[in-house]
Amino acid sequence: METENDLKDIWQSGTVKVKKPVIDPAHKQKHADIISSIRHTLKVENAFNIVFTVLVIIWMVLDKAYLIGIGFLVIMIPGIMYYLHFIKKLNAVRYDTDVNHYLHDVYKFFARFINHYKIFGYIAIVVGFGFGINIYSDDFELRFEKLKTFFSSPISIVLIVFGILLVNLITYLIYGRKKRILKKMLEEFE
Amino acid sequence: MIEQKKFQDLINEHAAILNKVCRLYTDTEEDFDDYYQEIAIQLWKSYAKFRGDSKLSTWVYQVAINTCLSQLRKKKRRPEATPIDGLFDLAEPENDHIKDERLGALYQAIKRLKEIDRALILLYLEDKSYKEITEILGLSMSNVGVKINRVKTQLKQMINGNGK
Repeated sequence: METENDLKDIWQSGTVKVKKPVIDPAHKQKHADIISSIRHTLKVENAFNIVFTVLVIIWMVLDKAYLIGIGFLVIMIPGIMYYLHFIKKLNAVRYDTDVNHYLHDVYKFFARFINHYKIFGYIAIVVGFGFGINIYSDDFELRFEKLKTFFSSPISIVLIVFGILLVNLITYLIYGRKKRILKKMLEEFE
Repeated sequence: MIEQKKFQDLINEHAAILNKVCRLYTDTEEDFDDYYQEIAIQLWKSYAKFRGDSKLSTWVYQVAINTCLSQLRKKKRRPEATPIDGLFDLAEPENDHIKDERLGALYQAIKRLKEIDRALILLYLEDKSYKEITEILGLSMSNVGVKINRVKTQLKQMINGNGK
């Protein structure tokens, strides 16, 4: 009881000068908040995805490799849509909910994104190898044989495993710190 | 235009809350201004959605604390950064020096707490009821009581020089 009175007495004992900075809507933040930071990363990555997709499609058309081009689009379009959907979800995160709810929301979206990001990376690695060895083969059976040989050779397995590890490492380097910060804050509620 | 005016009034009315929250989460004048601006921007963005389900001050606290907790640390501290404490000298001449020092020490001790605990003790010191604290932080009522007691003990130890 004594502590309670002590602390509250100290808190109310002085009048702290209240500073009122002029609100500037164009204020350039020197910090990045987690939401804006994730959103920015997603936007940059999606812009890269779009440019990359367009360049590959142009290449495929010039090479008359239409089937591969369509296959590539089938993979990339859902990916791009997913990014857009995620950005929309992040825009809907509200700051005016209770702190616990807010942090859970942000963490949930973020963790989900990281998982999807990894899965997308794994698929890209496997399909990328598959496309890579097939690109200049006209004969379908020959392509199939090449694929079979490639995916059953130990070197290709090592390459794919290496690729998957690389995806994990990149994901950790880009998002690991942000995830740790959020997790640590949520743990403070326990 | 009327909305902007109303919003500016709201910011002025709650400037003390914004000052206290920003002060507990920043160390320099630059960071203080940065956080203050960001909170104002987030308040403005949420302003249209505020339906009055809770008290206005509860809403301001929620947005202000959520905004501060969302800020990522800067990678490098700018060398010209001005410590914030110099800006917060107690202005009232009638305040005696000992009171000022004790308040300064309390602020410093609170800043050494975990981020969520800082928000919790701020609300407690601001005489918010457990119900309001629960509403702002999203902790259960029993958890609020337990945590407040723990943080108070921690603060007392820090102020008395026994804290880590």
